[in-house]
Amino acid sequence: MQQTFPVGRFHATPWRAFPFDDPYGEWPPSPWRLLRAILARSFQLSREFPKDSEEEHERLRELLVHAFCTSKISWQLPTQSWRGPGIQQYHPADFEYSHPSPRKFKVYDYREEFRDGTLDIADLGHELIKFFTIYKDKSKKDILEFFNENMELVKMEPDIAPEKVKALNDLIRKMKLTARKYKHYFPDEKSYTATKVKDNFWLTPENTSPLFWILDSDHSLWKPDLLIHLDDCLARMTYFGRAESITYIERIHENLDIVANCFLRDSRTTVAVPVLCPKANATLEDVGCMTNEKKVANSTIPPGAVWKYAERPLITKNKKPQRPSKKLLPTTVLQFAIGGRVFPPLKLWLRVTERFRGTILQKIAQNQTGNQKAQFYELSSDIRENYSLLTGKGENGVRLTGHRHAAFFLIPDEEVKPTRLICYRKKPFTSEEQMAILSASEVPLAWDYRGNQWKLRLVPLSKETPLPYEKDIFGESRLWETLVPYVPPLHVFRQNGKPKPGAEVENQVKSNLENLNLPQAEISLLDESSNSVQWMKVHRPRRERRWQTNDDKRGYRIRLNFIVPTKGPVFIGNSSHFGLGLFAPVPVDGSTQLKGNV
Amino acid sequence: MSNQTNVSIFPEKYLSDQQNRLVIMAALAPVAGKTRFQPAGFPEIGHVIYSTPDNQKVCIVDSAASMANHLETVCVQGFDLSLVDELDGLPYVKCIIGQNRDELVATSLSEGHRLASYYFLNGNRVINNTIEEKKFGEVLLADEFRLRNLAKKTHPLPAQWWNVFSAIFRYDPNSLVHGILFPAMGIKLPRVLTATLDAFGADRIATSGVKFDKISKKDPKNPGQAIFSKDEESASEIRATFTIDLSLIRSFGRGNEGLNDAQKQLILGFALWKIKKLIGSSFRFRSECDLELTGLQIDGKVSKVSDLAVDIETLIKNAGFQDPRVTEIYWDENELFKPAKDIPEDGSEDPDDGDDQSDEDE
Repeated sequence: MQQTFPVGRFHATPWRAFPFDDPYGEWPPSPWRLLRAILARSFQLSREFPKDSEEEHERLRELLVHAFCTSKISWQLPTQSWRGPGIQQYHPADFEYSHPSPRKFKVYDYREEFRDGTLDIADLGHELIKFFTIYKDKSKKDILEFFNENMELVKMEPDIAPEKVKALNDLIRKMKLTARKYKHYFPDEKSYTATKVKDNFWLTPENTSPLFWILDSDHSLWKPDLLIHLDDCLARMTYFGRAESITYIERIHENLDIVANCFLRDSRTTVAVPVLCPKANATLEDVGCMTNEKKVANSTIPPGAVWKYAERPLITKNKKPQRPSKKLLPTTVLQFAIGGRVFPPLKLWLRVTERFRGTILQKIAQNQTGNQKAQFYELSSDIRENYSLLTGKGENGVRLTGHRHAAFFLIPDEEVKPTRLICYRKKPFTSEEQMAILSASEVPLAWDYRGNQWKLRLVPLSKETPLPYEKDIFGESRLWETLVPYVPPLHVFRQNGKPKPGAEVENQVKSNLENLNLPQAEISLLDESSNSVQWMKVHRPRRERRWQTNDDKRGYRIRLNFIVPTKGPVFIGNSSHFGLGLFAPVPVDGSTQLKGNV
Repeated sequence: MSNQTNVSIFPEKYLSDQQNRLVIMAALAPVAGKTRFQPAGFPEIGHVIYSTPDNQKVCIVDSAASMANHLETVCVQGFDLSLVDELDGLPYVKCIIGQNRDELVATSLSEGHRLASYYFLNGNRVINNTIEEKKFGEVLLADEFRLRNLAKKTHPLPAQWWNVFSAIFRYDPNSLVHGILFPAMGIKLPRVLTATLDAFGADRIATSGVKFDKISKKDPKNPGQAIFSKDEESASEIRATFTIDLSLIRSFGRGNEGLNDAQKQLILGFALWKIKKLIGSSFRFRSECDLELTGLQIDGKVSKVSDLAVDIETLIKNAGFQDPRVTEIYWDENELFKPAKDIPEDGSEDPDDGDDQSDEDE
């Protein structure tokens, strides 16, 4: 049998389960429920037919119960189905007064002596009054109330005069009246009281993936007339479970390729859920029992039924279909203009490029999982490896060599503000990577830990947007100078402040150039007057942040004079893929040095 | 007034066919081009939005029970619960109190359990201005349903159902349309008309505001600035689905037993009239949920709301109801609304002069 739920929900609570504390939900649907639903429709069917067919229908019902109960039942459940949130609703229960909380107060017996006019009640039938009370209300007004013997209010005097209050209190003292405490309920408006009910449901694919009931039976039990009767009953099932579960169910005639993925077992496993089933020997009377019959109401299981257990198939959730995106042509360079109210000082430029790359990786993780909170480091290692040319880490997190992975440069303007960001990689960025980069550029970038008030915004530029000649890091020249200070990979000085032999800045630059197969160059440190040394923040990989505390390193201004004209970009040293140690060609008539902004 | 010329649906046609159900789907949208609406809020979880296996967000705007309430609301006038003119002559049951027996408490069109409500079954019927001694539930069970001899069965035998259908129809046809349950008698009739209202492609929109009490009369030192928040929804599609169980209606009578053809036609016609009334005219599901019809399908065919037109007056007239159409069930007010008992706290005497009594709640 094939069953669908057009509204996409199957509303039901398992037998005897408390809806507010139903640990499993009803899935797969219970065979007991299905058999009873079929029988209910069979009785309805009998009413539609002439009276003389009643006996025949009764016979068919007996056969139906026997054939169904002796069948081995399994299901092909849609794997994309799961439990819904369940809805709680207030249903009206009883009419009654909606009593506010009782008022506690003290009453005094009303005495004959009061009829002298002290309490002004001339307009009342005196005989009605049995008790009175005097009190201050919330607004500090004195209130006097009179009650009959049923403690029903017969008169109230709001805001009585102070002299009257005093006279009354004197009277109470003089007569030594004692107060009795009362809790008095004042009737409020008449209304319904409500009771809270819970409606549990299971979500099913609307039409795309039906639920199949598979009955493995003795073929001889399902004679043609019984099958016709079954078909008629199924056709009449408007809903299944609660009325909210509109359903279509039919016996399938064509030979579909249906493979069961959920089976009934007699014993329980750790992941199995209980399913109420008819016993093989259940009778029509058993199955047709009413839930308020004594024998049912007082038992943990209806007569003729048995708990069996089923393991649900694993849920597979569809990945959200990605919007078909424009295929971008491969490119080695992506450029962005940077805008902001306050720009970071040179020392903190790395924060911008570091965070921008972090955002790119986050976008990749989100695209991969469909989860907006996904982080790149949570992805499996084989997926992370696919992006090694962005992260700089290959298999098992080992660093890539040879300057192959993406680099992020900040280019300063005339005021030495980093107003342009360039993403560069020797191997062109793929369309997917470009989409991630463009998506990341929409996220405002904070460069300061002290708060997010100074955020930079990126605006994509076409890759042809030219750079000023003196900052054209992709140009060609023999003479190059640092645009951003160079941070040597190794310490230049020992802890005692003396130079480390072999780790001089020039030596380290030379070594860096050799590693990159760049031509030989004359290396010189620019003199102190042009701020050749300055502290710079360097990149600390996530895995090293726990024990390394100092990420301030000395940055040096360097001039390179290659023996042959050399094409950029030239970027070397510590954190060079985050824009440190970036060189620019020196114009014939000037210098690219950054001044100020220290 | 008969609308015979405007009638588009003839219930007898559907009931003479072998069709088992009639499905009507209505596409709705917030009125006046609004993009937001307010679904039913459920305790502790607010609006219900869930992700479906088909990768969309669905919001339950109204549950089946709630839709049944709406479909009953269209039958009565807003404040006094009297029937709308078109339904004049349709039977229903009233619960009344008061010395003059003129204070209406509820009707079978407003009560959740309809005819099976405690307030009808445990009250006393008023006939010719006289209050019957027997409870109305006993009258139904013995004289109308005739379920005296159930033997060991707790529920009616097949042959006894005809009396049940006829009696329910006589007192309150609405109970047959929306289903009814008499647990003590084992009578459970499913809904003929089941409706759901869902929004697809739904998204939650949270808004908030502040209500300023500029006069601050309540507490001058603490001028009121009540902050409130509310959730609304937007959706790409709001769909009401109405399913009418035709075979169930057919099963309410057979030959001379149970409901005759004209009475079955009224059940179907009444269901269709309700649907048309709900979706075809201005109906506010809630204060911020005023929806209008944007598309309609009847049985899978694109249709107009006028295609739902039925001649309800004629159907009521042909159903053979007898007077009195309205059954009055009387309750003593003090039995129905039990006042809470005052509690004297005996023995606790307090010689105070009474000045310091406050009216604070416990």
